[in-house]
Parts: sequence; C-alpha cells; structure tokens
Amino acid sequence: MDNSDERPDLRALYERYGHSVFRRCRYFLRTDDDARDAMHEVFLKAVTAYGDFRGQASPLTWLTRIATHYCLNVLRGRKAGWHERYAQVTHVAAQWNEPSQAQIERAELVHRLLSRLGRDEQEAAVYYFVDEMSQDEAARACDCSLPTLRKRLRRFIEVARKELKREDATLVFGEAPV
Amino acid sequence: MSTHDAISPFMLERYAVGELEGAELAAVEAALAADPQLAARVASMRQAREQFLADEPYAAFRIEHERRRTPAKQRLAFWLPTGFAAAAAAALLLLFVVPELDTERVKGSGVGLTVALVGAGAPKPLASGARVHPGDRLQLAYDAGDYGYLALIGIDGSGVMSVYYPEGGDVMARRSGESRGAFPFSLTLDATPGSETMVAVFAEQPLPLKRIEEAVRKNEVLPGVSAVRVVLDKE
Repeated sequence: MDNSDERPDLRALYERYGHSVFRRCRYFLRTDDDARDAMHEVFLKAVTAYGDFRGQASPLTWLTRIATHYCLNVLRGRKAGWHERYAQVTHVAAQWNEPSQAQIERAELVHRLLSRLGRDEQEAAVYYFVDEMSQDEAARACDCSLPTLRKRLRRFIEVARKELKREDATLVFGEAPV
Repeated sequence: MSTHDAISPFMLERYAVGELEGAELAAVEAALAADPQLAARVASMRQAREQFLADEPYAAFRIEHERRRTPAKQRLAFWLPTGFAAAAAAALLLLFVVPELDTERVKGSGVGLTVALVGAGAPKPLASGARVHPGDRLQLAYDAGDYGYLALIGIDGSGVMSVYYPEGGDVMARRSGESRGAFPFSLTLDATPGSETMVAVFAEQPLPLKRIEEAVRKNEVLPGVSAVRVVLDKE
C-alpha cells in the first residue's frame, strides 16, 4: 500500500483489512449488524485520518486501534451490555480462527471485565489477552512504553482475580504472568 | 493465561494480510516451515478473509461508505434558508437565459428537464452525456406540462438513489402556478465517481415517493406518469 498519498486506496484497504476490522467489532459488539455498522464508521474515520497514519509501519495496528477505540466508546454508551455472561461464548467462537476453548474463555472474561477498568487498561487487556499480541506489539498499539503497558496489564490482572475470587473463593493464584 | 509465543497471533495476522517485511517476514516464514499447525492457522485466516469478502463484497461496502460519507442533505449544499433567495434568483435566471432547445424533453408528453452548470457567468446548459466534475454546481428547471405533481430523483455513480425534491414528506410535490419552474436549490456534486443521473418525474396524482423510486430503479412506466432523465458523466 502506498502511504505517500493522503487518500488511501479504499478498495485495497477494505479487501486487506475489512475482515480484521469486522471481526474485532464483532468481538466487542456481539451482533453482525452492529459490527457491520461499526466497521463502516471505522473506515470512515480511517479515511479521514489517513494523514495521521503516514509513516507508521503497520496498517493493521493502526486500524485495530481505531476499531478498538470506536467500539469501546460504543460500549461505554451502552453500559448495560457489559453484564453479558458466558452464555454468549458460542457467539464469540465463530469469530476466531479455530480458537481453543481456553482462548474463547479468556476473550470472554476480558470482555466481561472491561467495564471495571479505565480506558487505557481496557485497551491494553484486549491487545494482550484477546489479540495475544506480544508486549512489544501491544505497547506499540497502545502508543505507550513497555513499563507502562505492564503496569496497565497488572492492573487488569488484579481486577480479574478479584472478580474470579468473587465467584469462587477457593481459587488460589500463582505469580502474575506480567 | 496467554500463549504469547515468539510468533504472536497478531504477527501471524499481519503476515496473512501481507504487511510483514525483512526480519519479521523471515521469522514468520521460518516458523511456518517448521510448524504445520501454524501454517494451517494462516491458511484458516486467509480462508476466513476470502469468505468475508464473498459475504461482504467491496461493491456493497463502497455504496454504504459513500452514503455515510455524503448524506443526501449535504449534497443539497445550497438549499439553505439563508441562501434561498439567491438560489431562487439563480433558478429564475436559468428559466429565462437557458434556451428552450436545451431542455431534455419526452416527445409528446410536454414535460422537460433543464440541467445547467452555474457559477461565474451565465448558466451553461448540460445535455445527457455532458462531462461534469466534483464540486460543480448544478441548477435544474422543469416543464411539467399538464401534470400537477412532480419529484426529482438523483442516482450517483455508486447506485445510491436520493430524493432531491420534495425534501420532506412521503408523496410527490404539487406544482404551483406555471407549468415551467425551477427547483429551489442547486446541487453541488460530490466525489463519487461515475455517472450522475437526474430524473424528473411528473404525475397526475400525488404518488408515494417510495413507488416513484421503485419505478425509476426498474425503469418502469406507470400510468399517468411521465419522466425525463438526464445522465451526466462525472470525471
């Protein structure tokens, strides 16, 4: 893709990254209709802000960030949607490429816990635990340093453990993985 | 809690869409050669992407993208309360300055549609097939003949249809006064590539706009209705 032009080649952008954007929106928003609507908004924002992207290495990281910010804003507006439970795991399953049950449950847990976190921790948790980015990749996507990313992830783990303890007081945790 | 292998799933995705280069690309290719499961995962990612594009093709995406980018109201950029007097004056000028010969007509029905490029200087009449450009401002006038009701429909290059006139309501507008008149606004063309079609529809009865849109889309001839179509070629 030629980044030197202020206007992106919309067809190339969509055909390469449309699926990734849609899948991300589907993870957050849960229905195909909502995901499609969000995907369009993400591409509108991407086209408008294309000048900001110039010089960055990864269009996927850039679009992932726009989609994540957009969906988190939508969810913040909804509020009620945050209390969905594991019953919806099957919907999430279709969104991953042959994910393991552990991956599905992890994604579902993160989704459930997001409402208890600040915006920065939300973003870091999704990139690291759901997308399974490396810490370097997640720090780049969050536009923060590695120590800052780790701090945000530790905060997420702390909240996650409290939530799990609330459901099963007998759980014992090892050392935090971050 | 997370696998976080040397090759992260996110890096695999970047590989699958073809944006890796240099050392990253070499690392992933080496890992794929050594791990059939990893290779299968990339194949699965690519297959999912192909299926997505089959389900949500670019053509459909583009139509919706353009619709969101340029809402119909914005296309009527000059139909504003404060600009109404100026638009009406330009429309009247159009009626008197553009020669009758430049009106697109339907033989025998007495109806016609005049499309003119306006800006500095006198309006320049445009016949079907004329070249126009994004940002061009068009003024339109009609001859409704004996018909009492009218509507103006636009279809842009991506196939998106908009009712330009009347602006509100569900049915065609009643013609007031003379059979010849001008639409009380001008249109500023957006950047959607392809043809720009204007269809003036005249009817004996105030038909629902939905029905008119359907008929225009299907090129259907309705009883008691006459239509004039001007197709401009946008560069």
